[in-house]
Amino acid sequence: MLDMIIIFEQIQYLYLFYLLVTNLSTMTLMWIAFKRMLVTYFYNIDVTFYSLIKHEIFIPISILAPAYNEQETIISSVYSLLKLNFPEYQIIIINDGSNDETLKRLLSHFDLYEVAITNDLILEHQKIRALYRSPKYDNLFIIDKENGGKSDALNAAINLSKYPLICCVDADTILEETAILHGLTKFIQDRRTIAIGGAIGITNGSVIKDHTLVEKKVPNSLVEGFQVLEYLRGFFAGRMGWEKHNGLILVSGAFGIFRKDIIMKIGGYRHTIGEDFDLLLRMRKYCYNNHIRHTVGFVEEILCWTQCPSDYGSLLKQRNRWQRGLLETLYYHKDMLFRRKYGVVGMVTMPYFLLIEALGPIMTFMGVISIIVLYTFGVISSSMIVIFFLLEFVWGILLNVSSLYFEILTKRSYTKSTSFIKLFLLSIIEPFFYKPLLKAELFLATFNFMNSSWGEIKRKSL
Amino acid sequence: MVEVTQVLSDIVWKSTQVFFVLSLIIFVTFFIIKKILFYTNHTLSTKNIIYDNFHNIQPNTANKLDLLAYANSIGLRLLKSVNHNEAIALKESIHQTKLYTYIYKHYNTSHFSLEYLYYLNTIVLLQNEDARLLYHDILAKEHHTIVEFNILALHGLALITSAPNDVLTLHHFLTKSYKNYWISQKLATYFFVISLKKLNNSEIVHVLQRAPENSYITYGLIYALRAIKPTQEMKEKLLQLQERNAQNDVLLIAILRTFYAWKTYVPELILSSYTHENELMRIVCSKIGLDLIGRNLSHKLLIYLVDDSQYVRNNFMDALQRHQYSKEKIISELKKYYPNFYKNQPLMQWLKYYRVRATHA
Repeated sequence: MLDMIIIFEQIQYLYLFYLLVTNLSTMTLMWIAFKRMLVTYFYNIDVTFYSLIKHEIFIPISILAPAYNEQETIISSVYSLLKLNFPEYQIIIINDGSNDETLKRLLSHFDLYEVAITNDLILEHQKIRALYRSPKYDNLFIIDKENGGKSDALNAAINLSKYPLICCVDADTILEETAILHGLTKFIQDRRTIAIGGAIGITNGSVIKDHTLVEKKVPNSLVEGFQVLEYLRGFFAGRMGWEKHNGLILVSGAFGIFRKDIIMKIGGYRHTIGEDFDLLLRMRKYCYNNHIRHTVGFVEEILCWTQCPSDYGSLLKQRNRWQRGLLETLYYHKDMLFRRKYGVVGMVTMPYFLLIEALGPIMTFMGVISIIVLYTFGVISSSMIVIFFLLEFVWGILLNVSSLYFEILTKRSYTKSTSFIKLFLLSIIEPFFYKPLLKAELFLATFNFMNSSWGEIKRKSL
Repeated sequence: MVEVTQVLSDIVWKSTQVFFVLSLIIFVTFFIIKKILFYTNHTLSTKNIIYDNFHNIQPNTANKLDLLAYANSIGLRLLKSVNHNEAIALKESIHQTKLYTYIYKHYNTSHFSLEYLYYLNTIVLLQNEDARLLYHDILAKEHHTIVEFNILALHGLALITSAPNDVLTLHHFLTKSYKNYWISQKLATYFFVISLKKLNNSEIVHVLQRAPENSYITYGLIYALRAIKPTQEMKEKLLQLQERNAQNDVLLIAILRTFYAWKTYVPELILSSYTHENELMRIVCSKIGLDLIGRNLSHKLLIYLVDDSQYVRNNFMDALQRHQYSKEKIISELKKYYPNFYKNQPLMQWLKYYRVRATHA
């Protein structure tokens, strides 16, 4: 019994260390992000880069949007892409073997006609049935292919794209009119840039007309509101902080711009759970291995708006998938971990993702169990419980409030006072309800993954 | 262990208290500031209102925020101004209000890099020639932790160009930034465009004569010429430059693209480069070759329809559509000049679906 208690005591201190590291690293990342944000705020970047377009200085881009059974929204999605403020771009919609009327509606609405495929199909994907163009919109292309999933659809579109940059978006997301323009600025400012991501906003609760966001509001339901807060915090600290020190390894699947030549070199997307994460890590790995100086940028503005799950069931399912995607990707790229050759990515970002993000749920689970056991046996001091409470909950509130404050000060995604008040209240209750729920689900996802999926992955020949 | 726990507990508890109180204060302060800013017309949206109606606004020169907002607005207006008379009026207004001196004073007494950045940004917008030395100082430094300082100074320098030497100085600093800050050639081109637009034609020719050859930044300068109305002298200078550096593919690509923007036929350049082994060269020629070679020689480029590079093939196919080549004309020219192309299956497949497009992107 004494041995058990000693073990639980050690777990308890490990948990304490974990909480301290997590909170301090998040605060550090937030501070870095805040400074970066202020630079953007004080620097009229828009002025410079709108002028770039005026002087016809830009890099043309192919926008790729896979669609599977999107018959209800596909037409308005295409229109939202057609009205982007950018001088030269190509839109490729991929009908990934939909079994509804997605293709039929596209064919009839845009009066599409078939064209020959003249590109070399270098990346592997399911068979393309036909390629269509629109007589009215010169830059609109539709690929009809057999179902193969998102990564497969994107590979097909990359093969048929004609511009040096590709932008991968989800068909159901709403892009800001200036999204591409903002993204491009990073490529023009720093020629090492191989990819950029942007902040993603949540449309739930907002007013949308004709696939255009008319009014941005924080949703009333708790589950959606928590996600708005989580996105604000996540993109602020999680992405901007890493970008500053060239440690960004994740660009959201909902919106990302990539250099096509590098994607072609690494063989395109792989069919994994976290295909976006995997893609960027492979791009970076390729650059490191070939001594290509590179960087991954992040645009502070919200470039893209998407729907988040509106019930707890869907949310937990989504997070379960994300966690498995994270573990899977880290497993595939374990050879990059703690290797100086891979710079900040190998020495800092990946270890952080492994120890804090991937193993965090297990750490929390074990920590909580140890506290309960030690408390039951009367071994834990009350001050220790206070410490855990403060680190887990109060500090969580602080991080929420700080990121909200920074957001309001610099980005102002939401302009109404009622939205701020809602978010402020959510910031206070989030660590008590939302976070524990997610951590429990992430723990289950980790547990499931370790138990079953790794065995399967080992057999994969990627 | 108990002592350690106690110390940790104290530290965390106290720091949490401080952070909590601080964030609450900040949050409340923000709302107060927001209100103040709203009522004193200094929010970003108000800045835009001033920007549109700055003629009707008399800033209170005793009020710092008032002057800063005014400086920013008038600077933005000046930057976007296309009307020469309006630009002169704006510059006069800046001169009368002594805005530059005021902002420069604040820049010099700044304490934080972000503060410097803010004032520098405003100084750039005001386009004052007195800032030249300041820009030189900034650009002469080996490294800035905030790369935007460098970009702002380059932008400022480009905006106050008044003589060929200024462009050459800009060239020098751009070369340095290209190496130290990884700026792209496109950004260099942008600054050259701003800069060249301030010069007359003979001054531009002077710049072309004196700019260092075989430099990536010079290629940016050549790209920038696309925004300038060409003269015969400029065209000749470019052709001479190409002749002197006949083996330089990158330079030739820049020159070809510039001639394309100028809508100038240079069939001899296309004929000498369209079968080049460099894929990038062929990609460029396939895209713009039809515009530069003239109709009577255009059949030469039909070879691109069976090029090994998919980008060359596709670019040329797009170019044929853009030039409204009918299917019949393509077939007749193929029969006449390249009859063996009929064995090429992908080409026949493409021709089967080919149709002239009525609209352009």
